[in-house]
Amino acid sequence: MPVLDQDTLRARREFNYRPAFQRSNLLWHRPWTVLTGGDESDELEPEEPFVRAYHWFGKPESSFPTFPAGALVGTLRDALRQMLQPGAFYQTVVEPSSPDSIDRILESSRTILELEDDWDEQGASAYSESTWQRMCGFLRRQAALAQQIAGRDLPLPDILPGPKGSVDLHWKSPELELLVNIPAEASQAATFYGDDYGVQTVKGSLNPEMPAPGLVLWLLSQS
Amino acid sequence: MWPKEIIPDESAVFMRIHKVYLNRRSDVPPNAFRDHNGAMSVDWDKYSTPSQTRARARNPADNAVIGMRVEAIRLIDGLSVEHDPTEEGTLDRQRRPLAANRAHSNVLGEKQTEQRVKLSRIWQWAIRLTDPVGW
Repeated sequence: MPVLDQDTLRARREFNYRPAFQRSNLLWHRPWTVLTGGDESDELEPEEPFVRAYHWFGKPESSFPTFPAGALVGTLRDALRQMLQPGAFYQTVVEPSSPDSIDRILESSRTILELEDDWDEQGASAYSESTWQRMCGFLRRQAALAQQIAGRDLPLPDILPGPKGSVDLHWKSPELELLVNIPAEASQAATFYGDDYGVQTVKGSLNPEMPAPGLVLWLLSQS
Repeated sequence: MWPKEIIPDESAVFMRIHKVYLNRRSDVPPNAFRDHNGAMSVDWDKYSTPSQTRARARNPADNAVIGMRVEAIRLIDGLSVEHDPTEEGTLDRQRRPLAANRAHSNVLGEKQTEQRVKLSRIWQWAIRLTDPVGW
């Protein structure tokens, strides 16, 4: 794996920090927020008439096509809107290109269900099959979504026994850290927090029964 | 009876980490930072060593010990650190007797995903499970 020097890393973070689209276009559908240290004028510079795909997807390659900003925003918005219509996602779902790896980590995470009450000798709760199943569904949906909107595999998280019978999904890399908590109570929202160790932060809550395009795009853009 | 004292920012606190929490990278992930009986129990370094903290576990050999600077904990949104010495015969919230521990302190505040991620970035090993290194 190539090692980037500090200047390049800083430039890359700054680059990724600047969203390619207006905030309102990015987040129109979401129950979550992006917190950054910048102001609105940073988001799309008037003198930058084009938005390159890698501005959002974070892979600077010369082969990436260039689109007029409005066209790309419209295309992405239409695709997301279509996916988010009730039932639409399930009809158009595309299996991730590496379902084996998702299946593998989900299967190995079943050991969480073997933990009994007080497994940490400090009173931690056991885990229910239904919580674990909701976590599996959530992860599969996000992996499928990553394939559908970006043609990429979702990075694999660590699956951890969380507090109070919840399950944690934890992504950690040199570029980002993201923690999603699937609660034991089916009626409760999942919560998440992530950052790039710098100025870009995402946090909020989401419905674990639904795909979370914003979160997937953020994860892909940083990895 | 031990008085409740103000813990200065420059202090450190020790916390046991059960072996089940340690991940394959021998890291302490965010799920290890959680409340037990309403707070996250730690020991103030003024009255405890890492070995003493470890020895208070039901099975000490199954526990590593980490240290955290009190100031670093307090810099995390919503978290505070308070001294909470326990006398012999004190009962916890589940009415179980606690051992006497003058060092006992609590990290108070919601341990949401943000707080847990940030806690998982500020610890240092005090005692590793396989290779005790000392504080």
